Amino acid sequence: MANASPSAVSGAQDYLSGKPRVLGRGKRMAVTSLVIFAAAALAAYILTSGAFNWTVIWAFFFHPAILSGLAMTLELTALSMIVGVLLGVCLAVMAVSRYPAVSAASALYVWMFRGTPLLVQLIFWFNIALVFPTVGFGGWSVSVNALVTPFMAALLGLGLNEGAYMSEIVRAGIGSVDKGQREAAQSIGLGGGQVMAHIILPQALKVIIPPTANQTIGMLKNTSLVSVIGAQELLTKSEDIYARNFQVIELLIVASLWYLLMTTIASGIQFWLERRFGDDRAIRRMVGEQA
Amino acid sequence: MNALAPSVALDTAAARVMLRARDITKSFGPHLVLSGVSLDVKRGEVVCIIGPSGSGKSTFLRCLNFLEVPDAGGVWVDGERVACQEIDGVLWELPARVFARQRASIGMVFQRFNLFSNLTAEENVSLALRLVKRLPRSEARDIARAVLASVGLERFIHHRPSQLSGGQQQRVAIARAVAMEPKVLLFDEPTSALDPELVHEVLSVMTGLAGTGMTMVVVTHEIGFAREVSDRVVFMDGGGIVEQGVSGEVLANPSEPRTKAFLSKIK
Ligand SMILES: Nc1ncnc2c1ncn2[C@@H]1O[C@H](COP(=O)(O)OP(=O)(O)O)[C@@H](O)[C@H]1O
Ligand SMILES: [Mg+2]
Repeated sequence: MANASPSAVSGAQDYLSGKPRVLGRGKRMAVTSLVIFAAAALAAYILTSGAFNWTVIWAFFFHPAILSGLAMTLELTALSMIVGVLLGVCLAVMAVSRYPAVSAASALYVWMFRGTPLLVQLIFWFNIALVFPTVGFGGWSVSVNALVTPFMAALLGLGLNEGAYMSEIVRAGIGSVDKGQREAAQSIGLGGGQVMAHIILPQALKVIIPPTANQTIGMLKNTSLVSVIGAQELLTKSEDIYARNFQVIELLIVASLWYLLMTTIASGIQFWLERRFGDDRAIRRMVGEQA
Repeated sequence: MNALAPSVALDTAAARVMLRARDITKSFGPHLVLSGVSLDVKRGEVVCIIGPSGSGKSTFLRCLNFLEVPDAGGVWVDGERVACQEIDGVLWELPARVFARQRASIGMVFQRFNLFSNLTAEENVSLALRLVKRLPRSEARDIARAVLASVGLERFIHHRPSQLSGGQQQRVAIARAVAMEPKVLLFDEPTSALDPELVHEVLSVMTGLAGTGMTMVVVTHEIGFAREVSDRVVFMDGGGIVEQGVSGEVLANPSEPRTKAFLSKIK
């Protein structure tokens, strides 16, 4: 008993205990102060040198044209993501179809829309009237030029392109569901569509939602591409203003600050979504799924 | 196979045969896994299939409800051909909806439970009652609760599969199959994925089920269950049935050397 441990023998601790001191603390502090100093110097230069006119930036930050561009950016992002997600689900379900022609059609779509630049697709949709001057059937027809406004072209371009990317994400989600789930559902008599709607897709959501949030953040920025077809979103509006007052850099900074604000908020939402995913009751509430 | 049109095949046994498998053949690529396996199971009979790993037991069971489509042969449940119909001497697939409904009459319990992880225990059981049997939500729920109570899980109806032990999950899986009132219930090693102390609760549910007159085909390594509960033991090896007979006799005095060797290994 008395020999149980060295300290018990001597009656006092004969070694140093506790956390060891960190090595290289001085070096770490030197690097930190260097970085802080450089950042402060850069900030001071940007704010005070007169290279950027902060009064102008501030004056245009809440300009009605900028705010309406901002609204259009958000609207395009939301609508394009809705088109993209719905299309993505369709394409992904098609991809796992037992009819080879159907899965081939899905693969062809994804190949075309992922294999060509989004910018080219946007310009293409904007000029679609050159290919199909009118659409209609029977006696009814309508001019494509009137139908495909810059907004429609933007929505088509962004949404159809997003559909191709979303289909890959949904497909990965479907693929992540254990195949025993499908077999069990089939063995109690569920049909193909029921298995998909009640078992596979609800379980795939866990895998689908985080990258979809990522795509949404990408979409916020990609909407700026539609400025080439004048779709009246944030960048188009900024360009319109600097074309008249020549404050190019200031208005680009206004737009950039708004983009930063939007992507930061969206990243916050994404972070929250991802944290909630351990608990799939949260997903069920979100999609209103109930069996 | 054509000589065994269902009318001919079923006349002999009349209504006594609940499940009939004829010459089930299945290959995966070049690998012949089942070479013409036939089995008749009488109404209310409990048949245990035993045999070494890789002998084709799971594949045979999965061919019975067409989770694997056999290359040749046929399956009948209660006189009705599964997944196929003969019209003017030509064998056609059943329409998908008819086939799906037919599958509901062949219950299956899996080694790894395969409970729907997005649903509670009660929802696992009631889902097909609503979607396949088209029962109203409240009726489906009442049936689900009653069946879950019959496997001793009345206190766990709102639990997710992830919140249940393996034994509880497997009992929910049995309840899910039983709720559809299947004509025959297939079990693929239902206790092999369980911790040893949980095996008993699942076997006792299965024993109770056998007592209700359920027709059951059970792939298992539980020799005790095979001896005490099943009416017949079938020994499979190398993609075919090597030996079968009354449980007590086959297990006590196997006549085939391969059966002897297998039984001596697992005891
Ligand atoms: N989907 C499959 N693809 C290819 N080979 C398979 C597949 N399923 C089973 N097998 C093979 O078929 C043989 C029989 O398997 P299985 O029916 O699972 O045997 P058991 O259940 O008796 O252990 C094994 O050799 C296995 O590797
Ligand atoms: Mg097996």
